[in-house]
Amino acid sequence: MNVLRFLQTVDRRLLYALLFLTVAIPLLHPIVVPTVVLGRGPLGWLHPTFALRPFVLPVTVSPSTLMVYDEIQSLPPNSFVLLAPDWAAGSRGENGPQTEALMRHLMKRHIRFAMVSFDPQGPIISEAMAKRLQDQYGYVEGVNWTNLGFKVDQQDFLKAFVLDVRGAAPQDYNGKPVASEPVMAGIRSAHDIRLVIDISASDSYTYFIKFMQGPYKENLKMAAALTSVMAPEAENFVSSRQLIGCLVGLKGAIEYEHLLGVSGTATAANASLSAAHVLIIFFIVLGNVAMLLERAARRREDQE
Amino acid sequence: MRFFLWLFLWLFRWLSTWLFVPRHGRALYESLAGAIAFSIVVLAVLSAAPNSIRKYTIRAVTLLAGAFFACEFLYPVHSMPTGADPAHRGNFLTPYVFTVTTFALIVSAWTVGLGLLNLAQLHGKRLIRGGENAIYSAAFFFGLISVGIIGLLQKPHANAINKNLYTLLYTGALQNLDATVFSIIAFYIVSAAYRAFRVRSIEATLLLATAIVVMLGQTSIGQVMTSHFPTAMHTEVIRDWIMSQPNAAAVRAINFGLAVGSLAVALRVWLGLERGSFFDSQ
Amino acid sequence: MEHANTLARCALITFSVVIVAMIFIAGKRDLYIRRIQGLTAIDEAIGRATEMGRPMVCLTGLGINGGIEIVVLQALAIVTYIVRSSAKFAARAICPVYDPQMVPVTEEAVRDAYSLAGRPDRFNPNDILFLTSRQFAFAASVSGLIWREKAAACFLFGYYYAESLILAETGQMVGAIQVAGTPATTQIPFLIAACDYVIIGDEFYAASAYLSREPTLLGSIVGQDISKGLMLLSVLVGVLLTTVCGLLATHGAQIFALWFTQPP
Repeated sequence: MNVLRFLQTVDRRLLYALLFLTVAIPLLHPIVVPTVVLGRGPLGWLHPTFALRPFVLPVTVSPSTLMVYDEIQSLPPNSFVLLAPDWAAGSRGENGPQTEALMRHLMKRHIRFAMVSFDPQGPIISEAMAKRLQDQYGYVEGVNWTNLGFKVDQQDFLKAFVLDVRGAAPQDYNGKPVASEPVMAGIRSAHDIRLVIDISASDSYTYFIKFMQGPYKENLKMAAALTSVMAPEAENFVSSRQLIGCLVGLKGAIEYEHLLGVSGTATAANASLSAAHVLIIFFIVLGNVAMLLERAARRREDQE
Repeated sequence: MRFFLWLFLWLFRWLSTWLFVPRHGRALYESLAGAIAFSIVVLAVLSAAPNSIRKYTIRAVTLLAGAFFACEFLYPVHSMPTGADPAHRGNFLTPYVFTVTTFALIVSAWTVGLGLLNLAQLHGKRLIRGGENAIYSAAFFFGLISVGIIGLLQKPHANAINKNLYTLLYTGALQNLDATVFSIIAFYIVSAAYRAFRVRSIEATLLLATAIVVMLGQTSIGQVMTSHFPTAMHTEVIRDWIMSQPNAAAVRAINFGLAVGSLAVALRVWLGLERGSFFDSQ
Repeated sequence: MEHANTLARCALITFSVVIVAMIFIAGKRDLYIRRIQGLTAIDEAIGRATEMGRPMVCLTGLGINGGIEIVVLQALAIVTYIVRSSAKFAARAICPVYDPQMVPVTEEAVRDAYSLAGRPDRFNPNDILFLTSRQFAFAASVSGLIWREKAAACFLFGYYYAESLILAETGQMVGAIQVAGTPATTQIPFLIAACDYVIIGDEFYAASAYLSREPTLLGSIVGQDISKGLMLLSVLVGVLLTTVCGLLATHGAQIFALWFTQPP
C-alpha cells in the first residue's frame, strides 16, 4: 500500500529532474542502439557483427505541413512572400525552428520575401536568423529579402498595408527606404503578394485572414506556423481553406526539415521531444495503475 | 444629414491634402512641434473640462470613429480600380481608409508612451514614499533609462561598447529571461498532467485515452510503436482525425460564441453603453 | 479592405439590433439568467480560506490589448463579489494588478466592496498590488506572492496567456483551492489540469453579469444567446438542406451556400 501511495504522489521535484535529464541527454549525446549485422566469415559461415548505430526516429509528414510545403514549391519564380515572425524568445523552442525551416525553403527556391512583425522581439530575432542563413543560399538583404520591422497595431497596419504597401511601411528595419530595395520592386498592394505565412504563438493569423486572405483570396494564399497550444484553434481555418496549411509546433518544424532534406535544430530535438512525451505518459499511466490497484486492495479489505 | 456627411468628407479631404502629407527637413520638425503643441493643448483642455463634457467628447469621438469603419464595411461596393490594384472594389468611404488607419496607428503608438508614463508615475510615487519595495522601483528606472539609452544609441553610434551592451542587456538578459520563465511551463505541465489525468469517471477515462493518443501522435515514437498496425490505427492518423473532426467542431462552436461576444462588447463600447456599467458609478 | 456581402450585412445588423434591444429591455425589467455552477465553488473557496486563516489571492488577468478594458473590468466585477462575500468573515484578499491604469480602478472597486459589506475598516490599500506589466515578470512575482503568503484560495479570472499554468501550479503547490474563469480558450486545458473549478468561455461573461446584475451585461448576455440561437438555426437549416438536396440530387444546398459565400 505504501508503494502504491508513493506511485500516486511522486514528488514533483523527482518528476522535474527526470524531465530535465530526458530532454537534455538526447540533445547532448545522440541515442545509439546495438544492432546485429549478419555477414559471412572467412570459411563462408554466417558471422554476426554487433555494432552501435545512431537511433533515427522516423518522420511522417502530416497533410497540413505537406500543403504548406507544396504551396511554396509551386510558387512561380519572382513571387513575393510576406513572412510574419510574430514571436518572442519565449516561444523560440517551437517558432524558431519553424521560421528557420520556412526561410530555408524560400531561400532554396529563390523566392523573395519581406518580414514584418507585431511583436517587438520578432524583427530582431528573425533578422539575425536570416543573416545567418543568407550566405548558404547566396541571398542578400535588400535584394532578395528585407525586414520591414516591428509595427505597433496589427489591425490598423494591415488595413493600410493592403492598399499601399510602401506607404504603410516606407522604411525597412534599418531605416532604408523600401522603394529603393530591389526585393520590393513591383509590390504596391496586397494584390502583388502571393503568400502570407504567419509564425506565431498567438492568434495574429486571424487578422491576416480578415484583412489579407479574405479580400484578396483570388491570388493571395495564407499559411501559418503555430505553437502546439494555438494549432487546434487554427484547424477550423485549415478545414475551411482559409489557411492552406499549418505547421504545428516543433513536430511541424521536424516534418518540414524532413521534407527539405536538412537536419537542423528541429530534427536534433526530435528524440528529446519523443522522450519527454513518453515520460509524461509513463507517469500518468503509473499513477493510474497504482490508484486502481489501491482501490482494488481497499475493496478486498472491506469485503474481508 | 447629407449636409453633415458632405461637410465631414470635405473636411477630411482638405486635411488629407494639406495636413496628412509627408514632410521633410525643416517642415518636418515644424510639423512635429506643431503636432505636439496641438496635442498638449487638446489634452490640457480635456483635463480642465468638466467630467460631463469630457465624457460626451470621448463618446462622440468613439461613435464617429466606429461609424466610419462600420459604414465603410456595410455600404455596398462598386468597382474602384487604383494604380496599385486594378481589381479594387470600394465605396465612397474607401479612399479615406488609408488616412484614417494611419491616423489610428499614430494614436496607438502614443499609447506605448502612455503606458510608460503610467508606470513611471506609479514607481516614482513608490520611490519617493520609500519603504521595502522602493528598491524595485529604483530598479525599474535604472532598467528603463539604461536599456532605453543603449537602444537609442546602438544604431546611430554603433560602436563596440553600445553594441555589446545592447547585446548583453536585450539579447543576453531580457530575451533569455523571457524564455527561461516560459520554459518553466514545460515542467509544470508534467506535474499538472500527472496529477490531473486520473481515471475517476468515464469522462476522465475518455480524456486520458484521447490525451495519450494525441500526445503519441505528436511524436515520432508513436509512429514507431504503431508502424506495424493497419494505417487507420497509426497514432498520427488517429491524432489528425481527432484534431480535425471532433476537436475542430468543439472549437468552432466556442468560436461562434466568442465572436458574438466580441460583437456585443464592440457594440457596448461604440455606442457608449458600457460607460453606465463601470465608469459612471465611480 | 473586406466589405460585407448581403448575408454579412443582414446578420450583423440583425445581431446588433437584438443585442442593443435586449440591453435596453434589461434596463426596464429584470432578465433571468441561470446561476453558473462555478459560483458555488467560489463560495466554497472563500469558506475554506476563512477556516484556514490564510489569505486569498484574486487576479483579474492580463487583458487582451492592455489598459482599462472590458474583460478585465468583468473579472473585477467577480473579484468585488469575492471581496464582498469574504469581508464579513475577515478573510484577507490580496489583488495583484497587471496594468498600472487598472490600479486606481481596482482600489476604488475593492474599497466600495468592503463598504457595501459594512466593513470599510477591513480595506487595506497595500493589498492592491501593482507588480509589473511584463507577462512573465508578473507570473514570477505573483507565484512568489502565493508561495510566501501560503494562499488558501486563488481566483484566476480574466484573460490569460501562457503564464496561466505557472500561476495555477504554484497555487497547487501551496495547497490552495483554485477557481478560474477565462474566455481564453487556449488556456482552458491548463487551468482544468491545475485548478479545482474552471468557468469556461461564455460562462465567464455570464458569471460577471449574474454577480453584478448590471442591466448592460445582463441584456448583452441574453442578446448574445438569441444571436447564437439564430446562428444555430442557420446551421441546422444548412445541414438539412444539404442532406435533403444531396439525397434528391438537386442544387438547392449550393444556392443556399452561395448566399453565405458570395463576394461583396
